[in-house]
Amino acid sequence: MKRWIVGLLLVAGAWLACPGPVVRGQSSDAPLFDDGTLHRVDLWVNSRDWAFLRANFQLNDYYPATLKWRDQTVRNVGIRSRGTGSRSPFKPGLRVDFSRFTTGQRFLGLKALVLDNLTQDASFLHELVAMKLFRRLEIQAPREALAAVYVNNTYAGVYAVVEEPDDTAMARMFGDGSGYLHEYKWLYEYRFEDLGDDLERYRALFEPRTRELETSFALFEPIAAMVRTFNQAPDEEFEEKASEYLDLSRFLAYAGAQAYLAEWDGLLGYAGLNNFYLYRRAGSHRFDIVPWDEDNAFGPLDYPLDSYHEGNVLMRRLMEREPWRDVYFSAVLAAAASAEEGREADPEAPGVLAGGWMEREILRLQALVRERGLADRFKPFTNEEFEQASAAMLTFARERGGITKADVGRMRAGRPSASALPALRAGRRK
Amino acid sequence: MGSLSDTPLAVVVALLSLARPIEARLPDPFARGPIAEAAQEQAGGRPAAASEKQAPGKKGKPKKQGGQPREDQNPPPEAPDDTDGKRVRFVWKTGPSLRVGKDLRVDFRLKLQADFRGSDQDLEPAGGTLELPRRRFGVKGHVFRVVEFEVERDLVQDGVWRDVYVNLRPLNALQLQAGKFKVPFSREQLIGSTDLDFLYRSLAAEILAPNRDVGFMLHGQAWHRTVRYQVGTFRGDGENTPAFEPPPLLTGEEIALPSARSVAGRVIVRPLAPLPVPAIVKTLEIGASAMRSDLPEGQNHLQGRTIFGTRFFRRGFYVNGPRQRTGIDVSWSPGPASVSAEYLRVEDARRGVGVGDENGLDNDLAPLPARGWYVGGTWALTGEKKAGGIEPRRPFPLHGPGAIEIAARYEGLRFGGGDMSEPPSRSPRAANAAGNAEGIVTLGVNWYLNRFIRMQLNGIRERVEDASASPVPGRASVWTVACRLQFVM
Repeated sequence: MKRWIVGLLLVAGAWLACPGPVVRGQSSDAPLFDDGTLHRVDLWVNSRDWAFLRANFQLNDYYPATLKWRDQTVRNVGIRSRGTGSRSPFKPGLRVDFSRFTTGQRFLGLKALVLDNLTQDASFLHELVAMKLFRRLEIQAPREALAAVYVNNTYAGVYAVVEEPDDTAMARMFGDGSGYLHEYKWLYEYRFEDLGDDLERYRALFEPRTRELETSFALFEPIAAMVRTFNQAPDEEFEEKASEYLDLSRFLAYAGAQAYLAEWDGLLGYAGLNNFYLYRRAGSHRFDIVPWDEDNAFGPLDYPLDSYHEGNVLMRRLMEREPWRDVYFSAVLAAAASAEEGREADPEAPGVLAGGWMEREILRLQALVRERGLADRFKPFTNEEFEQASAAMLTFARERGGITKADVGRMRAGRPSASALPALRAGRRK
Repeated sequence: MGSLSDTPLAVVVALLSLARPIEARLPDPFARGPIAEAAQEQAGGRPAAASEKQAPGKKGKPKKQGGQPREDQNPPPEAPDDTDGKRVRFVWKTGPSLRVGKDLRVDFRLKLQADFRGSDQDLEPAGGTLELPRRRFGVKGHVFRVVEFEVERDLVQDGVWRDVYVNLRPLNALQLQAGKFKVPFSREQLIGSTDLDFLYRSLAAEILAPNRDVGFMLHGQAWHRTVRYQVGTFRGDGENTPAFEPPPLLTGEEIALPSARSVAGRVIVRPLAPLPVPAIVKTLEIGASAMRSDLPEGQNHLQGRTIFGTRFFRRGFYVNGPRQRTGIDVSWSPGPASVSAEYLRVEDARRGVGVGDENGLDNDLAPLPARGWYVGGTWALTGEKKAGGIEPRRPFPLHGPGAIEIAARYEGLRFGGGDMSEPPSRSPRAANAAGNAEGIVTLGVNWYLNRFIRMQLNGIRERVEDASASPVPGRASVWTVACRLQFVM
């Protein structure tokens, strides 16, 4: 009996001493979005399909492909042409859907990936640097990196590998991916005007990207209620009511960062709202805004900080309130400060300032992309334009901070922004 | 599909015909002659039933030695006629027939079927709960003993010609058939629709095997039908194969569709027939079929569908190149019982339809397979011999209740596959095509009232592997009960 007890104790002890089951997380996607390197992404597509995709680049038809990155190959992915103004038959922007043809297939834990063709950005770096700045400002934004893309072993150009906003990305950003994600689709100039009770009007603008099968009421009534509040809440209750649907400080942080970046086609764009996602966590009425498509950042150096504020219902009502004006200006200055972080006098060159964070990032990324960028024969720019755009970015990084600080000073003193930019104010279309 | 108003007509015609057929079965030297036997043999014991196959032949073994004579038989050719001279006669023995001495014989054929059925699934897309699946009229006969012919057409508006062929029979071992007829592939597909043990053919034979096409065929038999063969070339891949569609074309692009010409062959052997073994085992038959045709590039593979037409495997994969069909079958009819089994496989080549890799663009993929099989058996409770088809010993209504037979079949049909080292995918260029499968159990009772009228009752349980493609989405298993009233003359 004693031996039995001893034996049992030994077995129990051994069992307790054994390590528990190994819990393996999903393959990390972090290396894919490591912007410290120029990735190589290979796509293998049947030549007939590739010809069709290019010939029908305005359509969203999916074609099967194999994607290879480093030593990892994922087969039976679906690729389609993507973009709005950036669609191209020569250098198609691509959405790579890993589960299109194989239910549940993931690549590094991702359901889908965007290969941005960068045809609206001659420098190739606008969006990458802008998203990095957002994240430095603790604004949740998609990750991205640069890649040389090869289709059927033929160099297809420099692309940005962009994390697609989906439930996986929302889980990373907000800790919960089970909520309601909407992609804002630009159809007409819209600036949070009340669209009435017809939820289908909201459906057209705010395309659901998760929970697509839920009722219109579940999907769009919270958006409609938010917009109604922006429009109809009495002045004395505006902040309280609007805050039920949106973190106003975060909204202004985003608006301020975009203003610093001179993004003229964003949340406060020349043609109304554009290029963002709305995310609402399950069981909540509050929305978060996720930036998207910052190709048009790094606009004019003297881009006014109050551009298109008047037309936007929410921005106008916020800017009418001094505390919120101050929050906005602080957000602009925070963006500038973050971009210029580390900028200081060069001890070896008296009177010359060493580059700030943004300048250093641009220089680093330009070094990464320059050779492949010059070899990209599908880009809709000449190499000279590529060089000019690269130089303009550096100028922006060096000078935009000073301009915005001065502008904030003027506006805080009750004076208008320095620039008028009539061309932009008149509105341009992509 | 038949309309409701057509059904009473079929029933009336069937009932009115009762008197004449019984008369035709009175003792008659001719009725026992080789011609009648030939007709009966090919018809599975029921006249006119063999019109879906080759023409009757001349001298041969008595039908009961025929093993599974209903399928691809070469029945014995013209027998001595008890008539004289060139007198033109109209006779009704096994059915209406026009004779001109020994030189010309024209038999008139009629086939009517009415189905009544109920199911868990919605049958409306498949013709509803009442359907008239076959209404056909035809003629069949021979000229100068060596030229045989058959013509059959649907008796419906926009009906199609079924069999339209001529068979030259210089020798039993070497015959040439030309026209439109069934492609020699698959045991069950070659059995006439009015001679099946069940209401519906197995899906393997119905979908994987071609039915009729235009072509010509050499066929014959040797060593007292111990060996039979058929080999032919045809214009297409069978009328039941969905039409080929080229891939989408780029602006200005032209591609030439390959010839769809096919080559098919079939061999049936009765290995025990020449051996000194009990007669009961001599009916064992083993068959093998093969067929090859060409597919144009496109999503042109075969589609999986349930008995009543629900697609459980749709065209979604690119194929290009030859389609290779193979099949083996075995059948045995010991006394009142029978067992049969068949396995069919179709492989569609996929040349140059892959997405490519470091080793080359547009690589070849493993062929896209489809395979099906069935195992079935019957037992005549009233004791009639099965070989050659059930013919009631005591036909209804004058001599008894007819013959009663029970039957059961289990079958499977599976699509998809390829390179099994790859994960399955719905990608149209997947190396391993994600597939789907269906299994069916059929239990049946056949009541042969007389040689002209038969009633069949089948209980059918279909189970689709991927329930989302089931006839009742989300529900894998579906039951159907179907009853058929058939008149064949």
